Amino acid sequence: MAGRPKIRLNFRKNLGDFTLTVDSSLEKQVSVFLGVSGSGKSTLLNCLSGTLSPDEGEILFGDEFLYASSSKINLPPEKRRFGYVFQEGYLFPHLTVAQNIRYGQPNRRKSAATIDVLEIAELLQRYPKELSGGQRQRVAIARALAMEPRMLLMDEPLAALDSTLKDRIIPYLHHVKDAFDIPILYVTHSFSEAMALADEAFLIANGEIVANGEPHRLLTAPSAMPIAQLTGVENILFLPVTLSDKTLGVTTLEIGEQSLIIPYTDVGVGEIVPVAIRAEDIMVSLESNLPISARNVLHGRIQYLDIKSERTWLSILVEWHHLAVKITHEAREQMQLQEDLEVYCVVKASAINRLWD
Amino acid sequence: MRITPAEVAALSLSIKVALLSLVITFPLGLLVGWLLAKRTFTGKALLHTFVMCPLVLPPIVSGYLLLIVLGKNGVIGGFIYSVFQREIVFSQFAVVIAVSIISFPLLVRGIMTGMESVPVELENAARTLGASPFKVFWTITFPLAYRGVIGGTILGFSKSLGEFGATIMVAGNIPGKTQTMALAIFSAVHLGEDASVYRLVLISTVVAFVALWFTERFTLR
Amino acid sequence: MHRSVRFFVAIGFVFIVFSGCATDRQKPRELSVFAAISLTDALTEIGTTFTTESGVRVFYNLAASTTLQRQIEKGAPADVFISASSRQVIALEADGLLEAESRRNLLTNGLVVVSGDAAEVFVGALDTLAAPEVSRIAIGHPSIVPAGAYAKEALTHFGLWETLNSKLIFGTDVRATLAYVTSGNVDIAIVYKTDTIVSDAIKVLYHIPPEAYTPIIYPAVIVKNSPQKQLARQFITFLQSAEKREIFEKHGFTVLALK
Repeated sequence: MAGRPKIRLNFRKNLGDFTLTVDSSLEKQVSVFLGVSGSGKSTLLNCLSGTLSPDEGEILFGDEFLYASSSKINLPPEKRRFGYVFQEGYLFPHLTVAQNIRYGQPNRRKSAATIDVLEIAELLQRYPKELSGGQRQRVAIARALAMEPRMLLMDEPLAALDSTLKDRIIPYLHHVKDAFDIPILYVTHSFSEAMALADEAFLIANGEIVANGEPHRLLTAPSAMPIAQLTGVENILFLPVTLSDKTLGVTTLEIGEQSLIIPYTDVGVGEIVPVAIRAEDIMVSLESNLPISARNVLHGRIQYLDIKSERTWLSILVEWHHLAVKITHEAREQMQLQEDLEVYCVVKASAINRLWD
Repeated sequence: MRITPAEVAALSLSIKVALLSLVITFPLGLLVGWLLAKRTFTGKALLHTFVMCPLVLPPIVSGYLLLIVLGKNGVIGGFIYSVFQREIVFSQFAVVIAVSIISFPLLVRGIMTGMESVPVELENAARTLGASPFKVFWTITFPLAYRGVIGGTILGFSKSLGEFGATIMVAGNIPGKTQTMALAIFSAVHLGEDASVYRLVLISTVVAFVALWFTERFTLR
Repeated sequence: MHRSVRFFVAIGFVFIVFSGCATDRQKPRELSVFAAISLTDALTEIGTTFTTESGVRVFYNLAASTTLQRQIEKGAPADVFISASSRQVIALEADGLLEAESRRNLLTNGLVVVSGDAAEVFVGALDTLAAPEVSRIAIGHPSIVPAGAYAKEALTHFGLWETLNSKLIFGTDVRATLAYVTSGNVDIAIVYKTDTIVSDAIKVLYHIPPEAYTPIIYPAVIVKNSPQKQLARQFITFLQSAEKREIFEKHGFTVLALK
């Protein structure tokens, strides 16, 4: 893996009242850019593929300039040799699968490997409209690989698929990663895809990279502050699913020994789901068995109090998660809240939002 | 029903002129349609208006303008006369020019609509797969714009077959030389030769029908 | 590869087949005659005999006289101009585009009152048109159609223009005017005598006396920039020869000047 070229991104692109500013280096094999829609992920990819020109700056692949405003270099897309996999696939509807794959292929014999890895041999004579969503994306990946790219750009390649299909395609992406030693830039709004694929993760919001690093450290640390900043929500938890029932309309997550009920979301048991809770949506109680409708009553301990001018901020440790809670000074005084006091955090299921997916 | 030699001459001239005009306008129509559908450049609106002009002008006005430009005293006509000692107006060549200019907007419209319906993302995808803009045009844009291109071609061709106003102005109504079907019908109506009118109308209907059938049969599976 | 290619192969094939049929640039002598479209049949017949006698092919450009006038103004390659009215000829002469001395008043036409062949209307003189049995009268639009202008002149001459005004329907050309009558929508029309020759569906009721309107003259004249004035003169003389009278009269014209 030593020979893999490093990619240097340092440019600015203005689109109406949106501006994308990037100054990053991609050094690992798979770089995942994680962000909500409108954060600038696709603009980033288009600048890299050459279908969009930045306003200024430079893009370097190894020691080759793909774009440099100072010396007026802007390599057209067809010269960059970057395989691009789109969310919508964009297979050519008038060509068969085989013709699609052959479209950008310099060497006809080599496609066998791609076709094997992605298991599409029996689809070759079909037209795109005769394929299922998952098959279409596998063909799109095969088409991008058949051109023998120097790099692979993937723009939400799994976003149009349901979660069962996603689970089936991800192994193919791992095959690709292992079989082709080229850099992959993968853009997604899905936390689980980022966790599954990333060697390095970049959080992107409002056209800026707000944080980057090793994915587990960046995305699952209790103080995932960048994500909180990104969403404006104080509490972000990454919790495994213990039960998901569509008919009851609930999904149950595990938080240490306790459980957290959220509105139903389409995930498999065992998968880790990022959820967000606003500080003002958490109520504090001194008793556990209150006659209320809120579904979640979590046992915890106040770690510290922070008395601000308008509100009191509490940090409550639930199992090993810190929850930020915002209450009035009056409530604090009446309940005589203080550090080390055991309390219950009460949260309505509907106040808990799943992030990204 | 007996068809006179003059009617045969008018019919074959119409078909010949319509085909020749198609051969001339088609490549140009592809270029202009592509420019208008896929490119942004200064003067695009102007080009669009200019190309579509004959669609809104009465053909006889277009013909009159052509007569002014191509006549021996006109800018282009005068130049050609001084160089080649040849006149353009009142020749079969003039018929082809008149018919081409009148049918051009219909051809371009069809091509434009067809090309606009091809998503730019597909073209970009082809670029990232290593295709030059030229290859993208012939392998993606053109085949996918196919229906619009055919539609425009049929419309333009039919218009060419029936063009009257501009032709009579710039090429005259000269039997055996520039008298097309439409002009022959005009003459027959004017002279009250009803039998001839019916015959000619029937023939042009059959020709238009055959042209449509032909394209259907050979192009739309 | 597939459909698009087949389409162009087919187009190309048809094109090759047809393009073989005609090339119009061989060089026997040719004469270009711009003539009022109402003269088509008579002139075609005469043109054929002229060609057999002289070996010169005659090409007619047949359109409305005003259209021909515009074309000659813009330098159209005409040798001879035969107009349906003196007006266009006088205008072009004023612009110096015609050989004024070569003008010959070739033919004259008359105005007639017609009805559909089934109609039971008797017209002894123009004032019978004021009778209540006649509810509608068609003439060409006086400011667009020459025949309409002459009809207006004739009606004015007999003091009937105001009286009949409410009954008048204006046609956009002579054909349309006649069609009103043949379709039975209008009782009476006033048209050229020559227009009545080809149709069996109309009945000539009355010839309007020629003193009621300006003479309807068809002049023939040589165009100034004709490269073959000798041949043009020969053709005009040919038109005036005695044996052509029959042909013109068969089509309803009166021949004016005979050589």
